[in-house]
Amino acid sequence: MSDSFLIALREALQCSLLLALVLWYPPVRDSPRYRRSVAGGVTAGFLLGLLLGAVPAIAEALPGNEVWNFWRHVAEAAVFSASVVVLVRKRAVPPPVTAWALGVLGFLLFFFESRSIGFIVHDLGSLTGRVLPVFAAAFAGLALGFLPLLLARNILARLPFERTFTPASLLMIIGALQFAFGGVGELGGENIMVPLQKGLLLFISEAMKSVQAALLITEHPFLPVTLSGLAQYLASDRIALSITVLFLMVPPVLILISLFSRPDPRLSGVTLSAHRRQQIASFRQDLSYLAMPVLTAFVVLVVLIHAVTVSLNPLFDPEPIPVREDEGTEAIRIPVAGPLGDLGDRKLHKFVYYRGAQKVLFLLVLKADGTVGVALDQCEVCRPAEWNKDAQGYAQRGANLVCKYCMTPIAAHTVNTPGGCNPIPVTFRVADGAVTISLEDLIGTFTKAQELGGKGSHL
Amino acid sequence: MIPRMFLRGISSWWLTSALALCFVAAYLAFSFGRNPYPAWTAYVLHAPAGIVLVLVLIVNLIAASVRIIARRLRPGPVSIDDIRSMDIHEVIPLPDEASRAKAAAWLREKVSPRDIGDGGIRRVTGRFSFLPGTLFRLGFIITLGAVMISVQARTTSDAVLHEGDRRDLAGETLTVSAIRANLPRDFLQVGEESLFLLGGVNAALEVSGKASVITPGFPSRIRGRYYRIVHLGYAQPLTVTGPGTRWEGTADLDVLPPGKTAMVPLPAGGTSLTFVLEPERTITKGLVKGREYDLVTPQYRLVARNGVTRDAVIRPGSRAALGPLEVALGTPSPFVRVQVVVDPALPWIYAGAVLTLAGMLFMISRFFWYERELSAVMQSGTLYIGYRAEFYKRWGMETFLRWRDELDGPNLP
Repeated sequence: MSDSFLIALREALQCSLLLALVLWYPPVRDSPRYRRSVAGGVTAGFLLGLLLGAVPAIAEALPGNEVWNFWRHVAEAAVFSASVVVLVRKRAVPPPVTAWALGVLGFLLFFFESRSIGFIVHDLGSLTGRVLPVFAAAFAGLALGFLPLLLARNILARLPFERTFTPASLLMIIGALQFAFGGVGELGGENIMVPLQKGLLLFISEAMKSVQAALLITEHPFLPVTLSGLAQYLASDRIALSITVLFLMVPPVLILISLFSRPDPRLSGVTLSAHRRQQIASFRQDLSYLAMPVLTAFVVLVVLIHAVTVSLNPLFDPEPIPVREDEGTEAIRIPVAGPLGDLGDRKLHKFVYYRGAQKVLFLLVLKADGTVGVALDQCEVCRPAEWNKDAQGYAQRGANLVCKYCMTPIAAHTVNTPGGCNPIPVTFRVADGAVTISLEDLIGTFTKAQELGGKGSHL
Repeated sequence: MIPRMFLRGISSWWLTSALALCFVAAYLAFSFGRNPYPAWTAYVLHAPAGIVLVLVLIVNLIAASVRIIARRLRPGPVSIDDIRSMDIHEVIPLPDEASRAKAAAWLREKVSPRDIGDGGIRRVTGRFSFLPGTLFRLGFIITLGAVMISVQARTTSDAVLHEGDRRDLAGETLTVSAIRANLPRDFLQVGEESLFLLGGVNAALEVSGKASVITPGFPSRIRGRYYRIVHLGYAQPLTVTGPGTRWEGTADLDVLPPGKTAMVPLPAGGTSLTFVLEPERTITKGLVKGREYDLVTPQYRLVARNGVTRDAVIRPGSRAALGPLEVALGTPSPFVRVQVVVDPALPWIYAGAVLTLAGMLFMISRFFWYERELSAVMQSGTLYIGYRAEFYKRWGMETFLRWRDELDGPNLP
């Protein structure tokens, strides 16, 4: 029950924030007709969404969550991009069109979330067999989420929205915040960035193949084809990321340009220097206010871009598996494939050997040439301070290891090679499908590495 | 009125944006299917609705370009309404002769005599800055049009050719006089991912009496057709002898890059031979480890399947027994798969692509090459003066305001 309450509360709070920006924007605040349009749109979106999500007969007849997420992304992108249309339009929009557009905006602010809430709350109710109490909790969450809007209405009315937002920057910040909030996380409501970048990558790689086919220079696995390097570069994930960044950054940049293209105030007729200074200060303050939503959107978008880059290319840092020496021997034996993992997966494998109170962490990795690399999970150079011990050792990103302290990428094929930021190599041998490390070598290397501890870091 | 509105609509950027949105919407609709891109291109290039969209886009881009060029090269007379619609304008009353003389002196400094027309003054700098965009659009229009023709008119055929072959292909008689492959004697394969890249491959062809050399790069145009090498492999002569049977011939083995298998079905008995290149040696020690292949006289691992599977390693010029079969290999030579394309629009696709790229590169100049216009009209003792800049409007407006202050100031000649 608390789940449905919390989900509804979270989504309602997010919607409240967006709604507050729209409702207290002066042209809307001062026009009952516009206010009614926004409120009507939100209510319609809420009721329709709830109906589509919560009534099983309807929900089953409609497409699944993936399709709804797709349309949510399209709607968010449309709101965000509409800011450019609003910016470049030359003619004033007639009030009926504005009222209609505000209704649509209000609808899009809560429709998809409301459908997800309806779906998930109904699901939770069915699972627990207490549909009514779960729905009641969700409605309580919604009410609580929208309550700040009512309570803070006087404070909101005093905020200088008219000095802070232009119609374009308002739409842009709403779009950026919608990107950041994403959908309902419990239904896989990821934000737009990952699907956008993946979709763009698919499109540009296919488009590049078409271009090559049209120009009769199709790729070949081993015959060098003219311009194939350029085609591969243009169809790469870097270009997909660049287009994603361009899509996200064009509206804020255009809005910023339009704000800063205003000429300075004319002061030739102002004789009193105090008045001149006052006018300049007022002009600069206005610009700062107007730039604030754009810069906020920048921050939100940069964080999103960073998050998507990390999520598409995450750091893999496995938990170390405890190992012991084999019975009656002075060596640790790790099968290349077995209960301790399969090195053939080309992933980083970490192990820990306990020697009294000491933890000896070491790593194994199967390199591209089919040979094994074994090293201590510590860098010869980077020595994190005691409070930052979690940053010691290595993680994996793609084909490289990465020093967690200085984030230097280490080519996996150089493991076993000492020097630089490479992991400290440990002597081993491979025989009978297993990697064997003698305790003498492991402890000896570890002890020497500990002695290096006092030398400090290169950072 | 209607033709004017139609012309304005067909040449507007709003229409371009709407068409672009239609293409995006179509792609989004197809993205619910399994292969959105092929479905989308099929819609855009083959479906009537898609073709109409492309044609409207072409007309729109042509109309927009004509509108821009006409406005830049043949601007209408200067009018007060035009001046009022500029980025910044001023209405300056000049009641007496002295102020008019002062304004005239100021204007003489800012404009040259050729800027003065019947209706007023118009000084334009960066008049030809439309060229990069127009070049880009021209390239794009040519590419679009050529692709539309190409998808309907292109015919493609291909054939495997050996040295000395004479074949009729796409209405022409081809004779292969030489195939050059530059296969290495010591190719080292490191790791699992293939690193094999074979440069310098070409074939000397004689097409209906005209000699030429074709490569895997840009297609060669010979007698109106485009020829290109699209694959390479070994033409391996072999003799297979079995109980009461004998088969002799040349098998085209597609075994490159090393690691790839090629199956040769034998004519009788449901038997097949599978070829894969066998490394000369495997290097496991030292800095460079991997499998080394001799690709000039390659040795194969040969697997025979006929109910029972048997394998052997065999080198050209030798023979091996695989159960009841005996296989003898002759000296291999390279074969090429040649693609022949008949496409009247291909030169235009290339021309369009080059112009589009040139336009894009040329577009960089737009950072500093843009149109600026100063217009002035004198009417009933009042000077109407305005300024417009295509980009960096703030700088333009500030320049204009500085000029305005000059005009107000006492120090004009």
